[in-house]
Amino acid sequence: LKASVGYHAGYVGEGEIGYAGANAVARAQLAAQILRERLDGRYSELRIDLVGSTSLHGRAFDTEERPYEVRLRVAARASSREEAAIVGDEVEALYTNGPAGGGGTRKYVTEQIGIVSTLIDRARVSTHVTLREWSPQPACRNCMTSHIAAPATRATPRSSR
Amino acid sequence: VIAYRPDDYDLLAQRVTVDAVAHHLRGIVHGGVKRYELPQLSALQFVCEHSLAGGVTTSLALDAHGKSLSFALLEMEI
Repeated sequence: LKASVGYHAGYVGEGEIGYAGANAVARAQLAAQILRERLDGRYSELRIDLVGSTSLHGRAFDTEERPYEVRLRVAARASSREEAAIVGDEVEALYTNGPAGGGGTRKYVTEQIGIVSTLIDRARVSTHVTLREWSPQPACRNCMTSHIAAPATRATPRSSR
Repeated sequence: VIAYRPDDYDLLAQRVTVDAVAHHLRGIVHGGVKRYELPQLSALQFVCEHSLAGGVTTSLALDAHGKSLSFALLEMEI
């Protein structure tokens, strides 16, 4: 049988910043160069794309095209949440210490589960079915939100082999 | 707006008026525009009210601080 095996692939740190107007692409490229100098060697994988120019194809096939605005996006794989967060922090630092007019930064850290494909002997797989019932949490009488910390699921496992 | 060459300050002061800026940034600036002249720095400072689509903390805009707006002004032809 084909089996998909999940494994912990570390943490992805991302950062974004936008540039618009005169020399937008050149300013974003300068920002990319700064980030590369600061982040290279620190992560097992690092990529920097310019959304609006190179983010989907890795390059722009039409070199004549000059977007009015461009968004730099940097992503790196790290082994810890803290290390991944540095990516976004370095982007945010460009607000006041980078090419002129950078705006709209965002930073994200996402835990990543990778999946690899393999084969497993059919005889080593046993199957069972679990049914769960779920009812939505009733709203808090005071504020009408469902913030009450109670078990959100009422599980009724019915297993059969 | 800071003149790249100080000699250009007079031209900028003459052309980059409150009305011209308000017209150029219409659709972005929804409040009043005030201009402060700083000849000793060859600079003009513009205060543009209601330009952040709700303000830094509640704006849905990508650039909630309006940090990129300086380049919108740089696009203005004089």
